[in-house]
Amino acid sequence: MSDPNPQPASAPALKLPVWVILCLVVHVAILGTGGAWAAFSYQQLEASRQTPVPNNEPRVVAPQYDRPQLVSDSDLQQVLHKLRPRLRKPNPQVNHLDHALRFWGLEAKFEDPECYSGVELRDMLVDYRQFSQAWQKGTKPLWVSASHGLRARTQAGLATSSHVDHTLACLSEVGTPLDFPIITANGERTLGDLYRQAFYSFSLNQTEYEWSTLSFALFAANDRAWNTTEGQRINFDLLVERLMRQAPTQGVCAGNHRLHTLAIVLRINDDTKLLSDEMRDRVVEYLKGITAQLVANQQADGFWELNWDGSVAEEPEIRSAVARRILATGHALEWWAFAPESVLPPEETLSKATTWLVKTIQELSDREVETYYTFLSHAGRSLALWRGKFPAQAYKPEPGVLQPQQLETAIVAPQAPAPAVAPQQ
Amino acid sequence: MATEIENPTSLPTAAEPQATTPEADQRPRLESVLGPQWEFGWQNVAVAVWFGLFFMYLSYQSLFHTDLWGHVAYGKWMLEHSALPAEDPFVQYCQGVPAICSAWLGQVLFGLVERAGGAEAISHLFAVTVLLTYMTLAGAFYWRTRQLGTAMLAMWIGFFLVWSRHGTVRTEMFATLSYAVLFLVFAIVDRRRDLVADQGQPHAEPHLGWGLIASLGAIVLLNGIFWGNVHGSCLVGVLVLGTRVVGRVIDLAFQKRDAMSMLLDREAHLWLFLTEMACVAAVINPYGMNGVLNALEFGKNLNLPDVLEWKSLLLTDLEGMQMLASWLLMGVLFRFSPRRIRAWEMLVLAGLSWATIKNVRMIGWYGFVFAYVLLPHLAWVGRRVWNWVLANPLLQDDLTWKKLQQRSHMHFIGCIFVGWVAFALSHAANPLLGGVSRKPEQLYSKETPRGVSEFLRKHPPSKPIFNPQWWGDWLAWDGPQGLPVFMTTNAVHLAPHRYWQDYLGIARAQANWQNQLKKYNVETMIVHKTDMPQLDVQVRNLAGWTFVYEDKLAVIMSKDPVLLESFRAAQAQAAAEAKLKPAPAVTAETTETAPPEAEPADAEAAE
Repeated sequence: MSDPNPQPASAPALKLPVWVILCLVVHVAILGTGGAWAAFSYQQLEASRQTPVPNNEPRVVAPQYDRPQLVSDSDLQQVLHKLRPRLRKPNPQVNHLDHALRFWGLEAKFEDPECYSGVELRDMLVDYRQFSQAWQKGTKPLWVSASHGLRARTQAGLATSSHVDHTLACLSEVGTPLDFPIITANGERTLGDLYRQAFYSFSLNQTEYEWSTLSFALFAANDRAWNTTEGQRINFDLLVERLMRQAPTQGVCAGNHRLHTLAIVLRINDDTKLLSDEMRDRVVEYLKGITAQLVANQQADGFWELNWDGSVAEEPEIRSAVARRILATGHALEWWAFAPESVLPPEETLSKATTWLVKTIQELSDREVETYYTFLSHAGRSLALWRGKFPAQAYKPEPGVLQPQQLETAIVAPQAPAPAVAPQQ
Repeated sequence: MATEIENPTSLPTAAEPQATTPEADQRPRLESVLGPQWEFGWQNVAVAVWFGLFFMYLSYQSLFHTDLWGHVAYGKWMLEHSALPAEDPFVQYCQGVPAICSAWLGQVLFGLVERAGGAEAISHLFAVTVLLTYMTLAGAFYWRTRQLGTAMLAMWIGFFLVWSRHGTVRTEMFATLSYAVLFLVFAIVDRRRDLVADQGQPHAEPHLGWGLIASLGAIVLLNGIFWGNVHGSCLVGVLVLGTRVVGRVIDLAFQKRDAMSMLLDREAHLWLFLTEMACVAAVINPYGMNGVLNALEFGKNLNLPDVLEWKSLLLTDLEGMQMLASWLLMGVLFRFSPRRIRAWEMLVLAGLSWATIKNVRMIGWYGFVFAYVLLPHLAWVGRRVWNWVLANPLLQDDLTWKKLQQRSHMHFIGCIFVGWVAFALSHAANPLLGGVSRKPEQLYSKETPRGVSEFLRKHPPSKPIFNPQWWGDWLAWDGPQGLPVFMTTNAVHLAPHRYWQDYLGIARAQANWQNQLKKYNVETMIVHKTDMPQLDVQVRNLAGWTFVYEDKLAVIMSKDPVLLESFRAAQAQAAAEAKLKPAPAVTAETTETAPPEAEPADAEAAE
């Protein structure tokens, strides 16, 4: 007879031999421990790869010397007036805009309608709407999206940045915070996107690294090291070592931007420790050596040539001798203005250099000023810095005294030849 | 399925009664003090001859001019500092890139051996290690098949596949020895399973006692620890063992279709246990788990695709043809052999074939596995051939053939003799038996830039130099102390990618290469004349650089003031000495004197 209410057959009890249980315990113990250790180690590894968080606000490295004996108030006013940013015209070169911005800063305002104010200069750079209005139709935007954020198109014509991270450094130097909006052709981004791109794509061996390093130093919150995408552990010791690696005059503007960045890093290091003590001493010694070379190779009139270290002169890219001398002399005076006292040359060296620079700038034609504007921006800024002020703070034109027409009548050199090659910087 | 075949090695032995002549009976007989296990056949003598010749061949190999010297230099550095380098100690522009010295023990071994016996001793170490590797492999193959001929054939197949790598003296050779030991473990287990299968129970579980499991675990652990510290490839062993676990589970799933059977399968537990032991061994190194994580990330390095051995497989290259031949052989054997193909065999062959296709250097790991997987199929063929030979009626009555089948202690003594002769004729015997060491031109490969390093020792540069990457290791080793070399083979994976790209740009004389030199402040250039033809032409015309050295291999240009000062002082001294010496009479002897290998050029003329 079959059971009318069959009960479901109970499943056989799962009984594992002891040895299997022991094996399973061993497997779980080994694999569990190994897996946990691997996960922990991986987390540690990833944590060590975290990049340092920058400050939102960049540091403003203020001038530290006021030497009226180097440049008088009236000379300074005349020079600054001559170098005001008369860039309000179609197709303003990006390298003129960013140089003018770092020269004059955000505070600058001018009565001359041809001049952009500091804020207008910044907005021309960071706002695609204004940029596109100033430039002819079809001009590609300055800002393009990149793997880590945003980057400026570079060395691809007059509507692009002249050097890697140059525009970022200019914006940083005038105090633009990382959360400041950048209006691109595709929407709003921030300066932080630009910074991140520079930071994450940085290679210690990239050809132009001066402005990247400057930006990193200006925003650095501490001396924490980080890993580049190349797997190299970077800190400011390594960055300044890189700045000191090449022969003195190698690099953009005869190597002077490397020296400028070194001087700025030293200044920041006084407030926020970025360098080891040994490296700080090395940088100071290096800059002393550079100063000795500059002193030894200063020309009788007070200027320097591009081979200011006394090396054999190479075929110059800039044909105008005046332009080359303004470049070499203005840049040197600019980085010295931020350097520690112990690095500075004798007063006589500085005096001869500033005297030559003031006289030469006063003798330049408007056309030359426009052509050499990028070099002149460093020269003009340096003269203001030696009076302990930024140019916008120092520039106080007296109405009726320094009217453009009067100034031009007084100091224009009418027959000044136009340079054969328009320099980029 | 497997066919029951009489063991072909069950041949008559000396202990068995043999047909003898009356004269022989009257001769006094020597009583053997050795047991029957020392009665060898002629096959054993043949194998001894092969290994003897192989050892001699290895001992006569010259030392290659590339990364070997980087390993020796690393080893020397570690011995001197009693520490592991945190960064590459020789290429200054790799600073900031953490160096994980996964081969530290191998490098220290090189350093110790070099310290004890010079470069010649490295050659001996290489010969002994490679010999041991192939003897272990052959031993493993023999253990599994009990067919000497088949074992040797499989070993030759493995050797054929790794031919392009066998002669390179580097820490990888220690890893290859460990790899061979792993096959010994495989053979011990698989032999037991083969015996069960040969008894008509292909799915039956072989007898695996706890003592055996513990012993194998200890072997895998110790072998893995050695492997994990002599070379960064120990994960290959882990993965190969892992395929045995997965393969066994797949086999069980197909055969029994029952999860419980997998839990109860002792072989599956064995392979999992051995894999775990290999994993444990992999983290027993100075870097712990980070060493393993580094090894896992190693293949992602952006510089490696530019290195020849990390390139993909090309069928037109030697390795491509070797792989193709192996696949063809595998196809034929798998088609006709009745032996079961296990899941792990397919997994490991597919995995390592794929790895070799991606990175040609993986053929070194593929070769031995391939030979091992083929082993049972080759054994099947071997037995068929052997049975066919034995069945040949012509051989049945052939006395010579019968004599050849005899095993005797004389064969064993013959093996010892062959081994001794091979050893005595090799360079490895010099420390023991005396003898003249090899001349440098015999000991070092022809491409070794000995003249360059000698010149740099006489005139040390004060600024960074540019050098071919494949010479950097030698220059770091044999050049002046602290020579700032540009690139070494050992630093390729440590070099920041842009730096590596710049190195390639300069080496290939690409546009802008002179600016790259400035970027790295290079003031002395060493150019390989035949492998850098463009650079060789252009570097001689560099304005401001002085031509200071040239030999058959290299040319050196410099603008390093310290080097040039030393060089010019030496030139001036040589000129002064030449003036003081009376002019030698022109004779046939003097005119036929070969010019010195190094011919310092006239600096002024070159400028």
